[in-house]
Amino acid sequence: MTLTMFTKLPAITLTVVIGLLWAAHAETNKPLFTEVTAALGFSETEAAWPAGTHALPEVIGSGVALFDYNNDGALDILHIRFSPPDGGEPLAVAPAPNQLFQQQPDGTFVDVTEIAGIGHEGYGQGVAIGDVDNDGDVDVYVTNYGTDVFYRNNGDGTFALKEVGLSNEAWGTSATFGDYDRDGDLDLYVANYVQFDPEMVCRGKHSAIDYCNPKVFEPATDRLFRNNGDGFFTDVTAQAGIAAMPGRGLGVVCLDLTGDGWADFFVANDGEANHLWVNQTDGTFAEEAILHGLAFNAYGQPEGSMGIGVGDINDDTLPDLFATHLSGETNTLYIASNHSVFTDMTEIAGFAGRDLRWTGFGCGFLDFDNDGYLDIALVNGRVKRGEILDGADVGEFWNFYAEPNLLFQGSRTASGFAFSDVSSRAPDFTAPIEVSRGMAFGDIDRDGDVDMVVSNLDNRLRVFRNDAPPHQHHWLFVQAITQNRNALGAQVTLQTESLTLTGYVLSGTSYLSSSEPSVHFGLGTIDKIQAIDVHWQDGSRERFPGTTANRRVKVHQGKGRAF
Amino acid sequence: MKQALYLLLILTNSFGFAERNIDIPEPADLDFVEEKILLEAIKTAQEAVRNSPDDAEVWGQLGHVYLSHGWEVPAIPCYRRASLLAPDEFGWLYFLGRLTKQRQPKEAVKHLTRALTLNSEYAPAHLYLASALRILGKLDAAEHHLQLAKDFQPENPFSELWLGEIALARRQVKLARTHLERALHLNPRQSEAHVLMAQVATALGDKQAAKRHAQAARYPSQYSELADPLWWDVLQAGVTAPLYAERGRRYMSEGDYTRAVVEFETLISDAQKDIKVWFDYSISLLYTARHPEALSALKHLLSLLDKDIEVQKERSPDESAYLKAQAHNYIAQIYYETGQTAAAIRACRMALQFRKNKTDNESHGQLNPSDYDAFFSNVHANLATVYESTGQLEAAIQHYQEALELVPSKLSVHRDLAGAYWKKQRYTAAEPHYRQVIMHDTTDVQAIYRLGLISLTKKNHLEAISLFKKVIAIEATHVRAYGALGVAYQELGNIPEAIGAFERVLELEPGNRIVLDKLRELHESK
Repeated sequence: MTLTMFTKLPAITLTVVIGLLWAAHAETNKPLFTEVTAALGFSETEAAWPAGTHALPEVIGSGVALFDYNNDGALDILHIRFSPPDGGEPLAVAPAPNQLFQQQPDGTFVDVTEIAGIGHEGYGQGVAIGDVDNDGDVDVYVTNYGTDVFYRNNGDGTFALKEVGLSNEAWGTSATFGDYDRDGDLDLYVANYVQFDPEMVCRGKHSAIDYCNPKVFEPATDRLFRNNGDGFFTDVTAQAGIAAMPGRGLGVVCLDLTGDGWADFFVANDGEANHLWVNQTDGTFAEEAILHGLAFNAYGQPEGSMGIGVGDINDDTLPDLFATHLSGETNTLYIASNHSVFTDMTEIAGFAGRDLRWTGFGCGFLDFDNDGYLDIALVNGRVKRGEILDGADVGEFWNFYAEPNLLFQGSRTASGFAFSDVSSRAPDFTAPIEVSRGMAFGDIDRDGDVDMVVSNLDNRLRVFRNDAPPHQHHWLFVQAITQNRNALGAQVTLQTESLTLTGYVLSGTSYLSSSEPSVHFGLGTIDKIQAIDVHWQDGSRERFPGTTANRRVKVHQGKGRAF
Repeated sequence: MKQALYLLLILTNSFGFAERNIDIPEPADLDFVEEKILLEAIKTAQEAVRNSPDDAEVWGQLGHVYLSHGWEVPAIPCYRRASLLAPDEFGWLYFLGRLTKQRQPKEAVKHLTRALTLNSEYAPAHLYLASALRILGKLDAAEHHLQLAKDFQPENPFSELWLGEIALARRQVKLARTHLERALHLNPRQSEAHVLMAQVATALGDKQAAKRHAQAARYPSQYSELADPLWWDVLQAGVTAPLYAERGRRYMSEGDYTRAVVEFETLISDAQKDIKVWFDYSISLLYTARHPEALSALKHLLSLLDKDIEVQKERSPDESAYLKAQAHNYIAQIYYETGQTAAAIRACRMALQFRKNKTDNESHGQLNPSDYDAFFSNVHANLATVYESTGQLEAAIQHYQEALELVPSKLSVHRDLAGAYWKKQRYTAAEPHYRQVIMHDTTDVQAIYRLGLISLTKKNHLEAISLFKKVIAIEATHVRAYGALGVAYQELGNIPEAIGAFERVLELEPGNRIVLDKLRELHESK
């Protein structure tokens, strides 16, 4: 019967149906991301990375920042770099200055490091971006294995290396700006790793030398610097209580995670309990990660935490967290609840152990297909030798550490949410077998979707253009401004007729990296926003008028309607 | 004819008559290995496979060699091959499932399920299967296998811990608490259980309990190894130093110190600078009564901590001090056991010198402060025991008291302190300590009896009678308890009961002159 009906369809209808099917087929088979590193003008001529010397800093890698340093509306890239291993001499200093790439009007990038004066030659690790003097241009803090450095933006396309009291001589990794004391200016938290001893030699059970487990080194104390508001910072680590509990910190985010409206710090520690420094609202912090369910995984075990992603994956306006870990451990999805206790729901979210084999570093929630559901991208690479995977081609030494990256697509299920592995649909991003570390997110080509930049262990940068969103999926970027700067730590909620979507104004997430602080929302087929609510970092709330989709909007604190 | 030839070809191949290319898995980074003994072990195991490619045992052994030295990836195909060759052998499937769990949990479920059809009572297999199912989000099935693991190995805290975790994931907070309380009952030092209990308490609004559990969770778990007898097969294949040490420590945990010594002896040389190896070696020697060698090993350990810059660099001054204190405490034990009491006292005093004062007590690194106090409480108690053995009762009492200051609940010290007071005839001072003892140990006959006597001297006759009766209930032939009971009744004026008690003494000790006199006196007074 069905066949009879089908054969009765007019020829023209059949053609249309087949045409539509082809279009859909082409769309679903289109790679979700395309590597555009070379096309954007980045050099591919990096010399082969020398074999490692098994000194721990060599495998930590470095980060990357996506930010608009010259306020021309386009994202630029700061690549943090470190010296290559040198002929068996651990940590020999061969200059590998950080590099700043300015985006040109045609979308390509030009190396402006020298002109900008930002090419520090330290053993670069991480980067934090924030406008510390509220002058409308962003300043840069770079962590090093060695003394960190701070660059003040001169506002004319150049930076000046400044001594402003941000003195950290420990092994700095990730860092983030945030206004923890609600005084209107950005303070700085620096995660420090371990008290490294270059003479320590570590061997596995098989007696062969390899990179040390960080646990063989004493943990380092993180640093908290309060912005005095006069261009200088004060080290308040001890008086804030942070010094009480050193940790092997690799990732950090600054956000209200306890629902009291005050910014807390979540620190991803390597191989031990993570720290949640809960703001006591009097300038001090209490470490309460265990009480809030963020110290360990579901089994109560510590994991090798590296990168951190933040997003509201279940549309309850509460920030959920994702942390990347060692192979054999899950990358952990912590879902927030109203009583500010997080639950490890990794194994209910459908990952099904697909990421267990790999060691994750840079990561983030992003809605790559603008369907309104947050997805997850993460980059991998071992810290101990393993089997050499087919396709690994990063040098005889480093092939043992090389792994593919992963991409998970989020969706809704009857029981809540789920992630499915769509790595095979982004081969440029996931097929290369490399050792990747830093990762930053932002709409580089300003086409309304989130692109990605990855820094590999061999100081190689890779840029991935997002080609995923279908035409019918809409989007909105919201830039929340306070005091002439991005309102880091603020929460932005879109009210639409059918749903509520929440994002967070954050630059310092992922691993050693800094992303575009504007909040991206994928809207699916929704093309109209009823209202934009902002919960500012100082505790106030404002509602801004709605708008149509597919645009970038700015909301300024004080210009909305308080509620 | 063709068919017959084909069959012959299959048969000859399957029985290994034909020349075959055996694809033997190998660690990718074998070139980095310098230890000849390990390279030899691998070569031997690989040769065995080459010689008997259809023997499951040799494939499994090769897997063990790889796995024991930390190479999981090449071990997997070895176990896979072994399990194909011997499909009814539980062990190979078990190891295959256990190894694939962290890489391909779906595959692990398949292997472990099959393994359990061969040996349904092996609790660790249920636990690993539950874990694989949990990774896949199959909570009901995971829970089922955890219940089975619990049935087969009720003393294993992991079943309760993971049942608690599943309940928590389902937001069944009270059920989670029940499981976790059971887990903590089985292993009070399991930090994972404390972590989850902190979350349970937070969810239930019990902030104090949450903080208490969070604090306990900050210290590493103790005794948290999953009891897995088959793991020994893997460990035995290890030939590098860490494996000797691991085997030694496992033997120690099983109380087999003789075997532990054998393992550690392989590692002992002047070049050995691993303090933990020296420590465990010394303790194993001590517990096998090899006192002179244990003493010598401990002295070598102390000299490393004092003089070796490399060793000193590896640990903080606090950690070194604590290790030295422990070494001196063991030295004291050796001297005490060999009758050298003066040297034992000196060693205990040395150990006590390394204790940080109260104001510095906040940070002991990874060391739980209660462990720290418990250790020094033990040293004081040990010193007291030595003093008591030499008749220096005042000094003994002082150190028992100091031991109790650090750990007020320690029953054995209450008992010993009470005993020392008793010897000094300071009965009133002994009384509260005996009371502490019987409060927690209702079967301590000596404590109950002595407390009865103290009550009797204080004319608390009813309490004395009750206590003597308790003694008799525990030990029906306790002659002195009957005698004391008789005296208590007599002083209370209950002559018939007194006579009854004294007569019982005579039954047990016919001819006891004192009791005969007592009975005569009582009969005359009637």
